[in-house]
Amino acid sequence: MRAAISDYHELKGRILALIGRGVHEPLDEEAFNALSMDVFRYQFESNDPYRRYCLKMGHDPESVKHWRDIPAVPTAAFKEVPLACFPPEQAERVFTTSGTTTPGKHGRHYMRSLELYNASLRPNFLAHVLPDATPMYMAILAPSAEALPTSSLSHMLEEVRKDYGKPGSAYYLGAGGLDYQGLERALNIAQSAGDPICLLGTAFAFVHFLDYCTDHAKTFRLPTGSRIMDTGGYKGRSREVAKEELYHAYEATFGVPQDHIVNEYGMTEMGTQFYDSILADTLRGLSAARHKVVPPWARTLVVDPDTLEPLPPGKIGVLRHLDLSNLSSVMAIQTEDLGYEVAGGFEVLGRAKGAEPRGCSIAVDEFLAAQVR
Amino acid sequence: MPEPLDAFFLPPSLLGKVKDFSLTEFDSLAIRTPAVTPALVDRVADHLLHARDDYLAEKPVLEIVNAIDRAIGMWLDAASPYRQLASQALPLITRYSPEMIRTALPEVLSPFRKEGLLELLRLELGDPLYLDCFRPRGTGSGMARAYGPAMITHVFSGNIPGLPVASLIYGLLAKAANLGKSTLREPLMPALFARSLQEIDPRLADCIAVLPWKGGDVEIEREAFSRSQAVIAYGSQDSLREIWRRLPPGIRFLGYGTRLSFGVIAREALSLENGAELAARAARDVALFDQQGCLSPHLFYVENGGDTVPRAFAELLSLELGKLEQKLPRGRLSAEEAIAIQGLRGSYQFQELAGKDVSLYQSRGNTAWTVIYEESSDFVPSCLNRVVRVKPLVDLSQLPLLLKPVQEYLQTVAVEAGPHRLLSVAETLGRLDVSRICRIGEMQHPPASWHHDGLPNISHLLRWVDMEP
Repeated sequence: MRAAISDYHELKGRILALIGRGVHEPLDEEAFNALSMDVFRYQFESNDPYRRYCLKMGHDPESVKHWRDIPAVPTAAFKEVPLACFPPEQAERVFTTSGTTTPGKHGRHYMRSLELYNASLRPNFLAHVLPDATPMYMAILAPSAEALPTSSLSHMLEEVRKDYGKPGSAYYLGAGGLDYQGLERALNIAQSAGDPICLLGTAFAFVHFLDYCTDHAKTFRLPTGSRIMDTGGYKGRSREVAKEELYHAYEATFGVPQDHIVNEYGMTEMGTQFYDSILADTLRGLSAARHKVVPPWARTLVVDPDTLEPLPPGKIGVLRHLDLSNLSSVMAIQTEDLGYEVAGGFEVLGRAKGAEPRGCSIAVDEFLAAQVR
Repeated sequence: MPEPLDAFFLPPSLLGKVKDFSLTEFDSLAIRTPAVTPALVDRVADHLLHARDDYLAEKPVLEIVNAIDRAIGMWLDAASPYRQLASQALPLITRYSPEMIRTALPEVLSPFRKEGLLELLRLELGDPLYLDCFRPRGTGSGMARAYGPAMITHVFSGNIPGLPVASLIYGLLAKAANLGKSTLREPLMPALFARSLQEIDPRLADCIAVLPWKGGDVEIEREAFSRSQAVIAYGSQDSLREIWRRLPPGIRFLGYGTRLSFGVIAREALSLENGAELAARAARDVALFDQQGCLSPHLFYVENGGDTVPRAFAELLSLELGKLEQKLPRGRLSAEEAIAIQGLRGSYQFQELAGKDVSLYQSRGNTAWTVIYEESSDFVPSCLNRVVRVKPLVDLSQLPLLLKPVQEYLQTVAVEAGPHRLLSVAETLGRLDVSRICRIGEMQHPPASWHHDGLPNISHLLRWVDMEP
């Protein structure tokens, strides 16, 4: 039996080293398990509500031998208690969910520091969105981190813009809504200069811009190498768009081929994002099926929504993630997102209908509401 | 795979006219339904109206009662082929458990025996024979006779298998031809009921058709509504409003929308001795139809000061729901429904851990049942499928304030209170637009003569002719 020596700094060092190996260097089960057991013990000991939750579920570090058995916290819990391994008032940043269906009830993710968060987002983003070409012009269809400091998405986008965006990369969603003309101008410039551009934003913002392009009979032939990263749900209050339909519209309106469209799936409650494999695979000459890639410092399980027991590959269930970058909160997160396991990752089908929509999309949609009608 | 089951009902002479059918699969069961077009509805309406004029309009109401009574009698016989077929097929179609269908079907159909129907007619008409001929009106002030609509279009919902049957029965008692629009969620029960009636009185069944089409199909519904004098619809407030908007002028409309029901237990009604028994009855109200019906309780208010405290009642209720899961298992859920329950449980688990005054009681290893005791007395609708809250009341006098936000949706309230307070509670609830007050354990069993959402079932369909002396 090992001694409970692991503390925050030691664990953080080990996780940073793991992240430092990059996205394509898989971590074997045994090593992942050893590290996740240590993180579980640390979180059990230092996160008070989580410890009580584990005990109530009948689990503690002695009984849990495998990462699959680590008690997962439902995302709803982030609305009820601070889930932190440190005094929450000492958080460097608090990311919150938009939580539009129960006003005033936001999920809060307390970040002791942004070090792990930032360390994990870079290699993951580079590997799946910009594996071939940095820096690149970025046009961002989301609020800036300055405008919406509680949004983990805005934070993530600002980090990648700073590091991988060419000068002139800009945000096109502000307090006044989407800057349609500005974005149109930026796309025209990219098109005539022949300089590839990376469009990033929420699916809802893209839907609004596509509507604008349709209304103004506007299409673009963006230079080869241009790409789109979208995120967030495809269903919402104003208009529901199927993913396939949306991606065809991207292709038709921007001239960006399907294999250069990458969907990002992330959540406020988790430091790590998941990206579509399609662009990275295409560029590496591999067959390009679209699915989400789980980086070496995370694991994803698909569980039965009724029993919460793991399901075999291919079966549709609800996604549960283990994310070592969540060191100072909780690593095991039970989502309300439907999906299924595929070879090399998983596919996400979206938030369960009737469950509360979350993520930044809805808030952004509200942001746009004044502008749209 | 066995032969597909016909989940529609058409008069025999029209059966041959339908060429297009589609199959819908529910696990090992395939059901067959016709492709409905405005032209088909037009032919069906012609037929139904003729059949009604030739037969039903002239048929004495007591004979109609007898025919319905015999059909219900067949359904109450567990060995009858209709009951057998429904018991096998409905669990697959509706996802209710086989035990639920077996138990609940007789419970929802038994109020429509002869006694229940006669009571209904007497309560609503005084003298049922007004439906047959001119009869004296009161004492010496002339005569009167009541005529039902020539045809009614019923827009059924799929949540409770017995509900469409009740609607058809009310229509027949009003001597109307009945065009039932069934839903593909559960098209079978009204069709099977019409078939059982056909065995007893083919000419009566000739005044019924049950066809599924996609709700809101403007062309088909224009045809159906324009041939009807009344429309009875069950559904969400939105779908009812949409139907109402498209009705031709002058047509009668009865719309039954989304409703909220709950229970109230006064302190004097909850002794140490009867707590478990009351909880068992409450559990049955929750379990029947897995809270899918408008009569299902979303929560129970328990007044402080009784011998069994509200939290203890929640625990008793959870024990009884656990027992019922053995006898009357909950149906299968969609992933979305299960996730909604898991999310709710997660939220309350952490509220409990954070020291809030809540207690969570739940089935282990699945989402079969959930009881939440919560100090806050706000009215919160349940996410259904056997999720129920128990909330304490300092005093019953809190009710008006708590119910105000959901007043327009209120329907059944199960009340347990001492005789000295029962009437005043009823007065309070009545003013809050509650339309039915019953005992705990009886929420799912309204008599045939109840005022569904506060309105009569038959007299609202009738047109009177007065003949002065």
